[in-house]
Amino acid sequence: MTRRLLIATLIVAAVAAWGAAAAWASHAIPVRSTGSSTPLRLGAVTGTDTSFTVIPVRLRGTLAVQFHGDQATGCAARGLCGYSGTVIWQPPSTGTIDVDSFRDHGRTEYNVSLDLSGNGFTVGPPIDGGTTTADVRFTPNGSAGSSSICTDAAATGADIEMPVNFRAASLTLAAASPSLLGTRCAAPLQSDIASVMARRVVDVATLFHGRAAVDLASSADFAVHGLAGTVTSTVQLRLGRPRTQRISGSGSSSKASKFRTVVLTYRAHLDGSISTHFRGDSSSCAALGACGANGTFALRVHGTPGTLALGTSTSARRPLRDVLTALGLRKDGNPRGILVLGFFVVHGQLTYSVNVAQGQNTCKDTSPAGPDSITLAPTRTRLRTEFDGSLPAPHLRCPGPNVSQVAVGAPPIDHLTRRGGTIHLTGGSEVNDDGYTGRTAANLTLTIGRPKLTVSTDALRAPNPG
Amino acid sequence: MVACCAVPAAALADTPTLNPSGTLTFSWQGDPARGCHAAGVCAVSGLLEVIPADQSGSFETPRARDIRIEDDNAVVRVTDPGSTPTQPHICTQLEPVSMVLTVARTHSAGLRATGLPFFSSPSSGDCAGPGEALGVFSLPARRLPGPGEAYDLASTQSFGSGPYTVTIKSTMRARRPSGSEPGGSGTGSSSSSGSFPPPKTHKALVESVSVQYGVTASNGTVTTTFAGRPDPFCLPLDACGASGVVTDAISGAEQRFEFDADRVVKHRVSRRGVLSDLRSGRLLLLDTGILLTDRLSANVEWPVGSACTDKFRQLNALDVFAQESRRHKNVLFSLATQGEDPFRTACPGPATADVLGSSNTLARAVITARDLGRKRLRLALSGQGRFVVGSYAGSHSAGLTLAMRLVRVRAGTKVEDVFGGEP
Repeated sequence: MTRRLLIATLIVAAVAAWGAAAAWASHAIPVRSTGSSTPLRLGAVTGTDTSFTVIPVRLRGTLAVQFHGDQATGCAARGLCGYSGTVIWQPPSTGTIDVDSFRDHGRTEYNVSLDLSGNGFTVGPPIDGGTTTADVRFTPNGSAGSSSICTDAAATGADIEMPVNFRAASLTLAAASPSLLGTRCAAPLQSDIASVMARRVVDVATLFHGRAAVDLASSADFAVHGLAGTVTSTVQLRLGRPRTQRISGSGSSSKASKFRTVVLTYRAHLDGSISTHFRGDSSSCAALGACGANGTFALRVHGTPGTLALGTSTSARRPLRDVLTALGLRKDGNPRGILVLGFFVVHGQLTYSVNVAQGQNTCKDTSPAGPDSITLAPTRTRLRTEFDGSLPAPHLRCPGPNVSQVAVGAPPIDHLTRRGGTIHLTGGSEVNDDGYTGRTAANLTLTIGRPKLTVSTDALRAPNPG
Repeated sequence: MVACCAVPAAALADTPTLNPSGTLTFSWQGDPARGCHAAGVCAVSGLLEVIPADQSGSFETPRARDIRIEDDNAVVRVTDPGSTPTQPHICTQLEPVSMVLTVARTHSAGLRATGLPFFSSPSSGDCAGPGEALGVFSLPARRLPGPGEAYDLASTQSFGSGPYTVTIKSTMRARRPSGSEPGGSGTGSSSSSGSFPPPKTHKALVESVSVQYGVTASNGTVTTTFAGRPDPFCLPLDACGASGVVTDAISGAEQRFEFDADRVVKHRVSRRGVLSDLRSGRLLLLDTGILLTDRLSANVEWPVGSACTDKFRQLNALDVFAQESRRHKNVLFSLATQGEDPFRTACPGPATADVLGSSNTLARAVITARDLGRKRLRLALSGQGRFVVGSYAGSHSAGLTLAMRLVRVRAGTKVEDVFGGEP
């Protein structure tokens, strides 16, 4: 908790100064602090009264999705007609609902999420979230080809965002990340069943009070994008007693430490692609029904211009030249101990496309992606830039390996941060997933314009480390 | 405990850990030579493929010949009796692996990499198989030529576990990347030498008591009954139509159950006074317990008509744990699981985490602190519960009776070294 508070303190301090920059930008930038499930929106928060509430949750029940290829919704065009099966999601027995609130000029903003990632110290192997198990049969259409079975399991649903509107948090399993239906087998996407899953609205006051039940049970049919079936949920949550910690840091108290936040903002856009070629691994393909499979999936990006922010927050006593040196704008300062982070949210056309051939059948699928993000972290001489695609199962509704869509670049820092320029993000890695082998190749180009520098000073009371 | 950690500053330079590559494949099959017919598992075959995560970027201090094997996505797949190509019966479970292989030279077999449990050993999970016995193995290791430290762990090994023969096929290599990282954090900051000052002690009067009982009789049973949940929830573990009973007969216990309590006092207390303080809850009772011996038997019926049976004796999978209640007036006794899973057999079925959730307690009993020191103690622990999780639903009930006879009582006040702030 202490780590979470300290990180949040840093972020809130940065947010206070970045507000203007983010307002200049037309898009809010979601930031996820390391080791915390606290997403903040730059520009949305400028206050510094912050509280963190953790509500223990007990979960019971199961989500089951039974599906089959559906002619009426276009299974033939997608090559999905031969697939049928069952996907089961079993949540962990415990989790927490994290409610972070921020006082912002008389208004209170909330970030709420159901965190299922921390079952670490209970009995059994550590699993990040719940467990999804798939049992999917592929029967080639109207041919003499033999059917195959894909059985698989994966850790899914570590985090479920609960967006808040008018002090009411909305909870649905369809917002889980990673997707509750994501294994290496063919299956519907989580978005395909979102409309038929229960969505419950819980008042924030009820969350703060705890000791309530939330019923996510439902049963309904779906038919979309070539697959149809039934979704049955018996999942229920029981909320325990909340614990709250507060950081009070309003205004500029004379006793509070002064923080200086320096932010560089750029207009930027991203273009390019990340593609993966894969095939069933003859030594281990049988369990996944992947023998003879051969495919490609690709993420293509044609970004629209957005705002890239690169900034840091330090004590106001630290010489400004140190900070500017850490940002690559000067060379005569001492950047030691200054943490600089950058973010860029990729908007525009981001599309995943999949093509998996197996025997006479070819499964084809496409889906919009994102918004994805790029993180930037300068070293003394380089600007380490990383794109990490948000979809852990980019094979979409078709079968295929789970592969990270990662591209990295590390250009020299000084010219870029002063004048902008182009960053090439590349990457090539072997795919060695259970049942599949292959190779991923990335080729992305991040183009950034000239910078705008914002320097602001604010006070923030440091959290009690206890 | 104290003054253990003085390390020369030079030794604090972090070394890259040995980085594994390749795969480790565990497969098992019911073996007639090992009695699979009697156990009903001759048609059972299973597979667990472990693809170790890349460990480059990890460092260690001091340098060791440990290879960290981590695979969060390892999946167990077991083909059950009655399975056909058109109608397969496959038990599928995510079973993350986190273990360490330690490379060491042995007298008899040369250089070997031996598996040590870290967080979770390779296991057949809730499916039929050898359970966590999968993690008890060693591989021949061969030092690879070249300037850097590297090992070839490729081999195929077989061993028996209950009614199964297990084969481990390794295509692994482990290589230590060149370079080192100074002082831990990776920021280039200098690290201070790790010498912790010992906590200060001082002489004080301590009122203490030790009450020892001999265990004259112990008997009890933990019974777990379960059945597959309705379709489709039973599908992942191939539990549709399956049912089973696991019985754990507690047959023995340690001979002595000792209760100790003490506190710092300003004046000497008589023996009678110490016993009075113990019984009134004024003395802090230290946590204590005894380990148990038990016989586990399982009978699980598959829907195709065949049944899996298993029976074995295990030590220290269960214990009776005693601790003081919050208000010091009572002593709580718990029948709890130790490191071994008392529900795991060669047959499929739910594990401790399924049956007990986040708890590890099967049965409880409470006595008042006043009872400590009596000539005879009789404890009756009981507990029961229901569960619906994964592919199974069921119930468990536990009962254990312990009869104890007082052996000795030592009580008095003595001068001892105590730490500052100790009660």
